[in-house]
Amino acid sequence: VSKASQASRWVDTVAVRAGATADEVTAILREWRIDPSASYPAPRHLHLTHIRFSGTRPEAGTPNPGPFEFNWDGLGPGIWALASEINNAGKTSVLEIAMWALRGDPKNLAADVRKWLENVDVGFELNGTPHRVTYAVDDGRPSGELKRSTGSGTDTTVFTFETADEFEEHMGSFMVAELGLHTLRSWNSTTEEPTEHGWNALTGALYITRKQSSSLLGDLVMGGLAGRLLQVFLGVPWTQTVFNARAARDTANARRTRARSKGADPARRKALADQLSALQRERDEASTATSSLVSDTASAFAQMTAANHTYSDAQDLVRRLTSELAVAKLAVREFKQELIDRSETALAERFFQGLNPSLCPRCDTHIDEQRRRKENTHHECSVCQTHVDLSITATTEEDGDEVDDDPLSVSELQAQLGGAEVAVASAQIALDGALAARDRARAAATAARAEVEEAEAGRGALAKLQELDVRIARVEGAVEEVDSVAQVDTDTIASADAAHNILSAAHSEADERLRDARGDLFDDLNRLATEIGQQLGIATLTGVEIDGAAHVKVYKGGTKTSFSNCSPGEQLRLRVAVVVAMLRVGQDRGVGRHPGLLIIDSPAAEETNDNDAGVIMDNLHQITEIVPGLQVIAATARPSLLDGVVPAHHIRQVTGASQLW
Amino acid sequence: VTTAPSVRKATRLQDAVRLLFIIAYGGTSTDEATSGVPGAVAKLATATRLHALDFWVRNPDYLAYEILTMVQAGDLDRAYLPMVERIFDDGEPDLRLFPMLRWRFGAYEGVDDALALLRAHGLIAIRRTGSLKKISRHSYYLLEVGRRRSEELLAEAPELGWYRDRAQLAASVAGATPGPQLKLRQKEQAEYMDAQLGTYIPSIVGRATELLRALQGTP
Repeated sequence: VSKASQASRWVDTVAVRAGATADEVTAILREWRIDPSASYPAPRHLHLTHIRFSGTRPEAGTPNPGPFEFNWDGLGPGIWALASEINNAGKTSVLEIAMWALRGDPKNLAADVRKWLENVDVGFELNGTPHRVTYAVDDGRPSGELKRSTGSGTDTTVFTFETADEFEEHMGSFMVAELGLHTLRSWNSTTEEPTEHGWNALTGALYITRKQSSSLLGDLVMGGLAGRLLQVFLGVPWTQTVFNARAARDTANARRTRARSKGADPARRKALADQLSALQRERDEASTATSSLVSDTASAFAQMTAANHTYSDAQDLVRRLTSELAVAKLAVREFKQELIDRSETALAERFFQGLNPSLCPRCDTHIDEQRRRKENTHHECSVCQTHVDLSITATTEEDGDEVDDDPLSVSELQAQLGGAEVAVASAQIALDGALAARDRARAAATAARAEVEEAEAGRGALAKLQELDVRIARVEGAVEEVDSVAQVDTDTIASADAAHNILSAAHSEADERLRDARGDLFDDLNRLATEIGQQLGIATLTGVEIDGAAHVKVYKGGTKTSFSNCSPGEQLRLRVAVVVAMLRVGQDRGVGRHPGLLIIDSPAAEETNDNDAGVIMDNLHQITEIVPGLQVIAATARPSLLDGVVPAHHIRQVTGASQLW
Repeated sequence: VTTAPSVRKATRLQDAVRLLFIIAYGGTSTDEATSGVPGAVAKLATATRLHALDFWVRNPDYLAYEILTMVQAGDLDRAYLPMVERIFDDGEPDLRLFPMLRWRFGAYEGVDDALALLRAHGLIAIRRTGSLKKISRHSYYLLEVGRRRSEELLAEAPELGWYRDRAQLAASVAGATPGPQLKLRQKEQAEYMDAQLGTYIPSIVGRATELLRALQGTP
């Protein structure tokens, strides 16, 4: 089935649902920028390479007035830690400053620290390419640039910024495009406006801290964002379509309601409408360019997931049979050796029994006839004169020889050998079959992945689409404003009704496709998250249920409770459990799109005993070994937890009451 | 059907028979007049050489590798290649292997008990030369009785002929090389050299089969 026809099938299915024509559906979907969404399962990697900043603490009211500087270089994949023995050593600020540079938004950075800062310089590697954000901070206001290394020693400037808003906006579109993520729209019922959730919201899955609101991921408790974020990072196709179609449907609904009662400023409306249609045309062109690239990836995705499963099962079977074969071969070898040893020893025994000792091996004195006779008559050894039963003397083995201890007779050994040889033969046949099946499964998995990754080619064009979306959203905002004072306009009402109908249908269709694509992904995720949550010391945790739509249910001691009812310490551990589970599911199925950077502020602050607290660090360490390229940076006020978990050169630590900067 | 992996150890009687054949067929002919040892028919000097030959008999993979490197260097005829092939085809590196411990001066295992058994029955004689101050040399002599008994044993138990053949092969590979140099040649294998003192010397069967295949590939 060609991609173009798959794309047209999407339009046709929505048309059937809505009871509209394919042309009407195409027009509305274009107007509202609802695209069948491709998924890009190729993992993107982001990790920090250095964190540097400097500034001056004012004379009045601070403990260590004067200039300060912080440099942490040489960061890379693996687990890293910031440690101090006291709580206010500046750890959180280091993490917040790093996040400011990555996110473009200072968010929870303490206002006083922000004012003291003069220069920030943060390096990161993105998909293997070194990048560096440097900016001056003047009274809390950043201005600077993002540079990308070209590999030839010179750097190119990706963008420059003069204000905090510019910084956040540029960083957001840059990261979303580079990491192959989606900007999600949702309907905000408080402001009655659609809201864009870009990079800033997505970083909720990268940075885990106690200061977060009661949402599972990110700090917005709205529009089912937590569940959507999970699906974005799990690389589930249709996530963006569902989310955006829902926001569009809700927006159309609000517009429809408003259109029934308002008047308009025709000149202003027309100017905006012209602007909007110009942008819309531009977007249509871009959309046409991408539509052939954007395939219906759901089936390819499902095929790839299934192929990866099959391959991993086949690989497990090969491993198991290989070790079975090795064990059987070892048994054959041991039985054969034992049989040789038995037979040779028996022959040698008979040989020496037929001989008489002729001299003492110690002093070379000859054994005379008299002694030999005494051996027979008095049971006295002709060499050393010890009283012994001769039939035993000749045959007894030295201590430590295992032959006498072995209860098996020669015929039993031969029977055992026969059995082991049969086991080798059948294990070999089974292994040969499993190897062939494994190779077939590997080829199938590779082919399935290639198919899904074909959508890669459309990435640049999609980034342009997203940029246009941001501009259109602004003009649309202005249109909304004009429309909010618009006159009753029956045409507008009719078209808003039609749009709402088609958008509802598009949402339902996309949602259904999303569910198909998702399959049992969330079952795996929930099972793993529960398991990890328990390991992290939420002792009474019996289940975590995330249904992919919006809802996070937590079961403690078998009873349902909500995430917001958990203690702050439990919430943090649940976040860690869910993100780690997400990384592992993504890794297992080869579909994850989490960029592999995880920053955690004080994961073990509330533990009363070091054992429980140590488990958290152990778990974070383990996941860095399971997920290649993953970088975890954790801050802790309990340096003892890092012993044997974090390598010494990965720890930035101050002792006593010292400050990190 | 699994048993805990344990290191195979020969019984004292197996040791005695193996060493008897190494002295009988790995030594050189002599007589009473030349040696000054009553009843002597063959001689194997020194203890180091005895240990080195024993190492090759007990580690068919090392012997095979030695033959292969000598063929490669042109020091042995290619007619030896089928012999090496047989060693692997018959599974000897598995079935005939008696691992030896690595000590400072090479592979070592006390053979005094087994030799005492041979001496007590008048099959061999051992002579030491040198003074208390000088390092003494051991020479091992096969006695006339020992030769007769060995031949009787082989007639009765032809399967033990493997030890006679292997002792002869090891001796011909060793040639006239003195014992200490033989040990050095054995130690040239990284696995042997790198083995920790007091641990068993590991197998080199993988490298040996590779080298055999490489040599079979070249005309």
